[in-house]
Amino acid sequence: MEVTWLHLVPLLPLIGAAICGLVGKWLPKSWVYAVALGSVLLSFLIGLRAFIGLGEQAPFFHELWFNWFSAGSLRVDMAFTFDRLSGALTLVVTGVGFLIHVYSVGYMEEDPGYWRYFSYLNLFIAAMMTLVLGDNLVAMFVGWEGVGLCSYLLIGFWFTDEEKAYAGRKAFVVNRIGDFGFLIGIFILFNQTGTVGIAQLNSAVLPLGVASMAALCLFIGATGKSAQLPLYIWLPDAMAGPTPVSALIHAATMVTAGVYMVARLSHLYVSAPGVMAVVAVVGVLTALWSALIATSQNDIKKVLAYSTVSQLGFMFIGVGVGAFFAGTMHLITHAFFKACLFLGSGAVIHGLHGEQDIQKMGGLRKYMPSTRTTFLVATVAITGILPISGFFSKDEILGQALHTRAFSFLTLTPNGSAHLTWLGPLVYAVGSFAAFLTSFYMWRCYFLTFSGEYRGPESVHPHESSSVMTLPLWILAALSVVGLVLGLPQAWVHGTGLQHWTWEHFSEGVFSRPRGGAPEEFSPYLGYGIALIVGWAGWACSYALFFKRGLAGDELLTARVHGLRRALANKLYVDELYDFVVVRPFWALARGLFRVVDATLIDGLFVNGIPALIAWVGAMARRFQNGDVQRYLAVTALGVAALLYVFLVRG
Amino acid sequence: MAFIESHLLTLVTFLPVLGALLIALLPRGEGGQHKGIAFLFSLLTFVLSIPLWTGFRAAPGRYAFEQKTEWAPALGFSYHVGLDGVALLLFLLTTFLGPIVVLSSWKFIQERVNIYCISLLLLETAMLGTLASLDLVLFYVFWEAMLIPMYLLIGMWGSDRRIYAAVKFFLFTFIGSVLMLLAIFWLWNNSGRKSFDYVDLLNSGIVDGSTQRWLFLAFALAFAIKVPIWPLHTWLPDAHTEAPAAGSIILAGVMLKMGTFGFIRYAMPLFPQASLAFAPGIAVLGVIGIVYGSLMCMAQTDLKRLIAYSSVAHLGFVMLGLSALTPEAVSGAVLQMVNHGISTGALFLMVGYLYERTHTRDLAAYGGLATVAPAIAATFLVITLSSIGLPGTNGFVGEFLVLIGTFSSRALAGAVPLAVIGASGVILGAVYMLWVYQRVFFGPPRKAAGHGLQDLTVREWFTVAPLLLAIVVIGFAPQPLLSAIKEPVDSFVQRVSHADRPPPVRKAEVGP
Amino acid sequence: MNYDPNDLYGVLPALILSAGALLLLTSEVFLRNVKPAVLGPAPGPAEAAQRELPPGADAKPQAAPAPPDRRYQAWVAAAFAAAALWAALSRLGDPAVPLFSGAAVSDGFGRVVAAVVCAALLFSCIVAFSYLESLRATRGEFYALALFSAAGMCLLAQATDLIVIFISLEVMSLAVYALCAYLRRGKRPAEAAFKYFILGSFASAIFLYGAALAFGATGSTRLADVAAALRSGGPSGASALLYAAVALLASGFAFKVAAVPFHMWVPDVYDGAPAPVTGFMAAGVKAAAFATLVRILVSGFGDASAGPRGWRALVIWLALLTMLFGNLLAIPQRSVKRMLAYSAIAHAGYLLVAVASMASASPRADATQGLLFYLASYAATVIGAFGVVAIIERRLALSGAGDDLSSWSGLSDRHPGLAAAMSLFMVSLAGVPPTAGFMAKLTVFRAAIEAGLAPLAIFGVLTSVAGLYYYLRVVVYVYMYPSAKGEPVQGGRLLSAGLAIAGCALIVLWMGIQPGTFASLTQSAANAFGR
Repeated sequence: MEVTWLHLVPLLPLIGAAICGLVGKWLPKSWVYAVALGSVLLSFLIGLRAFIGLGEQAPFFHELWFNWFSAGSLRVDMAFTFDRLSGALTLVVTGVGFLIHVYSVGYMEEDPGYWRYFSYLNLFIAAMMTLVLGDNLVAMFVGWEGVGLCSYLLIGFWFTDEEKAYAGRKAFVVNRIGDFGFLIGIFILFNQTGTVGIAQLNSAVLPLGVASMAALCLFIGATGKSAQLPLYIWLPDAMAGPTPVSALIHAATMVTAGVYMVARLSHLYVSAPGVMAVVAVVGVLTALWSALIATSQNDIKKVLAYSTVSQLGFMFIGVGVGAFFAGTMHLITHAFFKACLFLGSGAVIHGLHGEQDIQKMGGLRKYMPSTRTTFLVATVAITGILPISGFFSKDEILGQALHTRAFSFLTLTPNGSAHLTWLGPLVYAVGSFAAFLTSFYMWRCYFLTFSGEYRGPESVHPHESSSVMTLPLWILAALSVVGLVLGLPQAWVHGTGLQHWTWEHFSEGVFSRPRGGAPEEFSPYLGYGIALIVGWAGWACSYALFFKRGLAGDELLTARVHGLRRALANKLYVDELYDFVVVRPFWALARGLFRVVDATLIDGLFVNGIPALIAWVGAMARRFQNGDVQRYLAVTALGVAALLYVFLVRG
Repeated sequence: MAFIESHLLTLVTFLPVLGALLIALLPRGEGGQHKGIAFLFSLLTFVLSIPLWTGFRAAPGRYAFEQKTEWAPALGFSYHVGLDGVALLLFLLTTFLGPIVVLSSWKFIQERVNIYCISLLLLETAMLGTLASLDLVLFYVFWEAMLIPMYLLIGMWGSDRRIYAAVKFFLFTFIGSVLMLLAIFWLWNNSGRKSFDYVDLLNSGIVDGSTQRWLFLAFALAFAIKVPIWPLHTWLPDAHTEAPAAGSIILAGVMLKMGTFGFIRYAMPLFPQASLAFAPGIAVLGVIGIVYGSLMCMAQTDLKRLIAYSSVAHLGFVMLGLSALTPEAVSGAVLQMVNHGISTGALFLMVGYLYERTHTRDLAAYGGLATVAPAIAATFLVITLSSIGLPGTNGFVGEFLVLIGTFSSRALAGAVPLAVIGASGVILGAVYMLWVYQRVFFGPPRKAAGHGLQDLTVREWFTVAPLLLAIVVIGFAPQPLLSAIKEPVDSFVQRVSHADRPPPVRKAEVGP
Repeated sequence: MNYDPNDLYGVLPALILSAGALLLLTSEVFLRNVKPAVLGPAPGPAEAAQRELPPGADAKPQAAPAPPDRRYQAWVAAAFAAAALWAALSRLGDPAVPLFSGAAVSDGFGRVVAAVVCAALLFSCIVAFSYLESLRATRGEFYALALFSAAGMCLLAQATDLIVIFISLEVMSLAVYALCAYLRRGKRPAEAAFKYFILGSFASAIFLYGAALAFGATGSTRLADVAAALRSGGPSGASALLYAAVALLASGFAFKVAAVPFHMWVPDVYDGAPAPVTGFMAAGVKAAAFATLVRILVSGFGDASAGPRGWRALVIWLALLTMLFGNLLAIPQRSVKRMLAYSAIAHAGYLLVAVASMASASPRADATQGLLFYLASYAATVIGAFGVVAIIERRLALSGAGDDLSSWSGLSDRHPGLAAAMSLFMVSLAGVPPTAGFMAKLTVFRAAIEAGLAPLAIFGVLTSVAGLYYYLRVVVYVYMYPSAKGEPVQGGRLLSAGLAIAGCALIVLWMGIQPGTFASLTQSAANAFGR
């Protein structure tokens, strides 16, 4: 159904960004707040209205805003689609975004650059909405790079610190590597189908080879944006930015763009089962890898960062095994509880005057009760020890992985028996272990932060943050609980009104089915049981280690597995590896080429060499001209003789 | 009025010369008023060139604002000018940059102002003429007339090694063009009708393949040096580094485009078969330019030199697009010419302002300028983003079209790998530009940021704002430009990409 | 040989010039108080100019009475030159008429060359006026000699009989020798003139011998008869003689046009002679000599052009050598005058390209046009250039510095006008638009391409790139180097020289921007050798 107001969703924040950025410096503070918050709230309300409007007669809203550019057979429109998937994400982005705007009012109140900050934040919302709503890959790419820019600007927000500036640059460059893949993917698809429209692509017939190449290239883009192996390295450093930014961009919304993109292009991916396998494997490996690292981090934000990477891995497992609804559901729930966790950590850091090291925390529950409570709720949600949002969404993913048939299409043998069937269970097993680790490190983080006794310096007096910051926490915590309805198994809600709220039912028809067919009906209870056991096991371990002992627990652990702990504490030396294998050689190559080819060969040998040679010859010849008239005569005579020779003898 | 209509193009082209004459007649030393006149005339030129845009009607095979009159019948060439979409865009770009350039050097140039202003104005006319001319001799005259003023700009107001740079610039360009001159004569003599007129020559093509190749090479060399295509690029860093800011802006903004323009207007349409044969070679050189140029940027310690090398990379995209011979890629290439003119011109403008303040181009001396000069930092950021082709800035559309067009090119052999390698420039661009940006603006304030570094003044804002505006506007609404160039681009692609099947007309018109 | 008085109209320019010369000489008689001491330098800044005097050679300057005022002579000479110019131009379009029963011809070609020569003379006189005045060295002979040589040149351009050619050649040459030695003071002029004289007579002898051989082979010295004899195959065994004749005649004039390897005299002579004279030589002698060379080769030996023994190959080789060495040797020069001398050689090479293209009939018209255009543009450029050199040289002579590029540095600050003019001339010599030099290059090389001499043309333009290098160097010093410190900025009689230089500059620009006007003038001449 064509509409004319959809472009307002990204446009309003864009205008807000422009106002804050251009004149915000001279506006009174309250106006900047009004503009920044108001614009986001408005687009949230528009989104809400549209979301409610979705129904049988209007499965989606579409708007062709304007033709951006078209040349030859390529036509790129600024056009938006608002269906159940993009609609839901619109609400998440603008909603959570709004809450974080509110939170930021408190968090950034002392910072002189607040107007810059809110401008970037608005710009981010605008870009993210373009990414989500864009109805073609190029429009999506605009948002894709736009959010990258905002993350660059916000990570390096305090740019006088080289470290932070560098982190921003790192994020942008690594993302660009992904974007490179994304671009190539677009090229392949355009070259094959002659269109870049997502709707057209989702109905196009794609040869396996082309589909696989395109899907793979696009997935490279996803690994960049969503911080998967091997391109996840930028995300932990991205914590250099203000904490609300980490919550909004580097946990709740932007980093999930990759998952969203894969889900958007479900048709493409189901046409390339091999790539789906790759996606699932990458996802599970990332989940495990970063969960391991997270167990040994002491910077509270770093813990959450690696936890984010790991959770994103789970989402990719979901989309990788063909359970797009599961992956996207986890995306949404994760947005709630991870945002809550980050904002909580922000409140903690705020309350401790910038202290981020959990070794210097502890016992904060009595200083900042509401922060503690909300943090607790969110931790429960992510570790899934109680059946609230995180529990259902994560378990849905693992269950689907266990029973998936997504890969079989590729390997069906003549007699019909499918190979690669072991992959699903394997993923399930590893994923469950990652879930155990998740529970372990999250509870470690919680215990070390809130229980026990305060270990920080006397000079710092922990205090609860203002209500403008705690209110969002409560809302997000509530959402993390309520989010469970999305994941309720069909069996429970069948026939009840809740049925329409479960994501699986709600997103019916948005995604393509894997060619191997949907997994056969399976009862979730076994999965739930195992998940609970895993979750509680993690809780038990860290309770035993940290609840009473506090930091001593870490020492105990280190004493056991010393080498491993140190490796993990140093992030498994991946940054060092990249630096040694990629970065340094590359710059060395550049300098070498410059010295050898440009300076020496081209300029030295040819550009300056040849003229020098000519000048030298000229100087030599000049010596001959010595003003001696006899010599002149001789030369002239010889000349005549030569001519005569030419004409008489030789001729 | 009708007279104005029919002579508008000529009027705009030669208006700057009037200014130059006026300045030449004035007494020396009145610096301010010389600049004033120069600014006035360049501004007037721009204003008068706006009707060219509004009144432009694209028509297949015809040129807008065409004018043809006798020049030297005894020698066989005529004064024939006209614009197609491609020339129009570059023409407007030139007139657009004109006043900005004059304004930008207001403070920096203090001695021998009159010669400076005269050079600028003559240079503008030469460039406009090069774009407008439709007679090969006329084109060549303008083409080489560009050299002298630019030579003076570099040599008289440049920095330490200015003379080396100036002479290098002149000799490099001259070597290429003299061979082109002979090729022009060859065309004149062998294309059937003894005529220098572009349209005539276009219609009476040379059929013989090997001859075409030689002539193409003669033309291509001249243009390749101007672009510059690797490995003929080494004059560029020196010229850019030593030239005064204004010189760099013109050089990057317009003059380099003369090379690419030469390819799309002369070298390739005149010798389609040869172009088709050489297209892969050019594409490879273009890709080398992209990657190599970016690498060179990473190796520099001199701010201006670095940006100069980035030009090599950007124009690599243009050459890649031209040789891909698909409407998407070629349109992208043309758009990229304009974009590069705006973005890199703006970069040099900003670098010029930094140099005026800090008197150093050494990256090591820079750092933390964002704290002292936020406005400069902000504008520089926007320009940087446009230079690395971020969506929403002009840079993106051009690069994207070039790459996607190249990727899906049928005429170009090995298009896919070329496009992929070329696309890696997207990464490299981010690597070096953001590195520079951090080096200059982020971190704690360093030496250069000292001594009360002043933020953008009002005059400087007037020079930067139009460029920023152009960056954003073209970024969001490139379509008018693309529509303007559609016709010439399509006929170009038609002509060259189908050269292996020459239309019968050509055979009929081969000379005796 | 019957004599028709109307024939005199055909050689009107030469007559006018000779009459002017005679008038000047006789006018000397009435200037009474001429003493040798007058030749001494006048008091004042000219003291420095004495530096090269052998000690005690000259009388005390103080004793010398003031010399009589001879300024009128310059203007008289100029007036006659102008009259001759008018005479040459007035009949430009007329059909060709043979004179003196075929010993000479009055055709468009000759008239254009005569016009060029007269114009060159006109400007040179004006330049020389201020030059000599400021050196206090004006004497009657100067302008008379100049007029005589010009008369010789005009005749040379018209002569179609080897004897007449030889006579006019000598008329021209002897006068020029004398002009070179004109500034008696100092060794360099004398030495230059001496060399020029010796080598020049050597070349004349060679030419004469060639003429003799030609006569022996065809029994006539008329070019027309030579051509006829060639066409009819000639008497048996004469062909060897004829080819030898071509070789010798050609080398005779190769010397005059300063083609390598007959160029050795050029640098020393150009350097030694007074700048205005050098300019006049470079412009006039070159024009006349080339005109004659073309006449001999084309209308005399036109049929002997093709083939390995044809003169086409010969000219091509000469052109290659001349272009190569002219440019090569000019590069290391630091004296502007010497540099211009070598550049004159190089330009002779380009002109030879035009001559080579005249060998075959089809491109001949274009080639002739190119040759004439080139001669004219070169004349305008080089006279202007030497005019500037003259001013600088005079300064140096007075301030005692040597002629080196460094003395040009920062000229643009002291004399923007001169600087601009000099740069313009340099650019024109380099053949960069929008100047006459470019259009000349265009016409010549276009003809070469038309004649199928592409390799020669390619070689030519490449050497012209080398040429650009040393021409630009002058611009570098004039504009890009700071003014040499402490150098006094002298006034002096700039006006007339300035007029001449400005005139040349205007012509250079005009021919560069509106080449059509001059090209249409040469239209009539273009078909002088058409078949």
